Amino acid sequence: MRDNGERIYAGLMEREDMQKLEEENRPPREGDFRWEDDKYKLPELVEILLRESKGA
Amino acid sequence: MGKMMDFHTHRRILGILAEMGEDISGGKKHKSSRAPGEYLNFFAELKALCREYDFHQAHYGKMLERLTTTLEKAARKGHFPVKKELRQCEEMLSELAAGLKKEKNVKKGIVFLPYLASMWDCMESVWQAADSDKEHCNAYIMPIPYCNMKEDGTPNEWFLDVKKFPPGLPLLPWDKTDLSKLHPDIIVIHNPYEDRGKINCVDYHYYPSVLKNCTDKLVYIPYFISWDKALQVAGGERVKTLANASAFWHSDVIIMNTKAEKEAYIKVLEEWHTRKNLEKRIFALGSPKIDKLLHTGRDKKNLPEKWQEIIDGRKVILYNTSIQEFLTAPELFIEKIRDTLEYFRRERKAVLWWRPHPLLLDSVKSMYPELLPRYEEMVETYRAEAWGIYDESGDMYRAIAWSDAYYGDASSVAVLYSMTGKPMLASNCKIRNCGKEEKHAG
Repeated sequence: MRDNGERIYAGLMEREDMQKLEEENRPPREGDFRWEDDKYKLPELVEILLRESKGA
Repeated sequence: MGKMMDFHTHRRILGILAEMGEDISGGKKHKSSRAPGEYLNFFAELKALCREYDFHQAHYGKMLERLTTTLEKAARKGHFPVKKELRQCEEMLSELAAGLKKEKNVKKGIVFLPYLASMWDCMESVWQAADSDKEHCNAYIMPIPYCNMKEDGTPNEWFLDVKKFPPGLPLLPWDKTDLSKLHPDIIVIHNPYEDRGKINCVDYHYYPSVLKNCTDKLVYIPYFISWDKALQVAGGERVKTLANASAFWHSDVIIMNTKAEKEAYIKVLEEWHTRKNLEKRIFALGSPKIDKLLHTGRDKKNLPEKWQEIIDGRKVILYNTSIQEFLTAPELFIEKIRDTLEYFRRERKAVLWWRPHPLLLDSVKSMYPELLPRYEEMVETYRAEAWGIYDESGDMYRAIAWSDAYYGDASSVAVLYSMTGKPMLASNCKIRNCGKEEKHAG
């Protein structure tokens, strides 16, 4: 599949219909973001990493 | 259609014809741009080019023959530039220029106008696509001058990032390039502002309202990408602010990352434009920044040895500090950075990779200069102690690739990071990881 740059270039050069090019655009899924409040703090993030590291 | 003429050759021809027109109509005191001999050589070259590129050579050939004969005669008599036999050529010269201007067998010229090298990623993959289509397109990059601002909103110091771009790129010199004369088919920008930039500002020749007259198609690719989930946060205030920027008014094409982002901007802009007009100009074709994200891996060649030694096989946390959070609560923000550095100075199981926004220092300088000594002292100490990485490069993709988790502000770096699937934690200025909790509100 074409990357975004190739798709934008094709549109700017008027080789393809911009509306159709839009349909081809599939941005990667946005991930989850934990928010630092009373529940999650920085030490927890470090712990997650270290756990993963031991499990690896 | 045969081989296409290069865009710059085409523009050079039109430029010389325009010069000659001025020379002929210039009057007795007018100083000619070129000697008659130079123009004769140019006509010979033009004849050959018309043959090579399959232009309307029979038509142009006759005109060029007549022009050559007249010019030779005038030159022999020393009549250049004003004598009447040359004046008779004026009309023919205009016809020749007008005909050549409309020639289809010419490559498109695209000029990319980045100002900060660290923001080149938002147009890089489009340039790569254009550059690889050498048969139909000539793509140029012209870094443009910009300044940072004083507190009172006047320019402070001017910069040109030419040396910060990757080596080997075909850079056009800004001081030798008149875009109104060059008139590229397409100009691509990432600066949306005119004199409204709070932190920095490009030279006025490169304001969107000026550039729109220098090209057939002005294209704006924003540097930012938004979190779809956050587009309507606080009533979409951020979208409203950005939608007012000049590039949204003057660009023929605006590229958005997602349909949700496009829709959020259209909603705001509908106050002044019709939806029909906006849908013809705004397109959700994806951000080149995502291309860069997906194509950047862990390459040891790009990691300084000193940084490799600091990492030493441990997990890396990318600490991203943004301008937005700084502007929201400047004092708390600085103290939060101090707190985070202190936490990682003690916690050596993971490595901190601090990457402040490339404009953060300028923002502190121009908007809260009273905080500058504290900020600078903090940075200097962190760098001197060297237990963590201080990344002031423009390359956020290396930082994303080499890190295992994200900590920091919910900025556009975070949006990109979230697409990697690695763990992320948003920092909260009111939370302290070392010492006392902050009680007062931001």
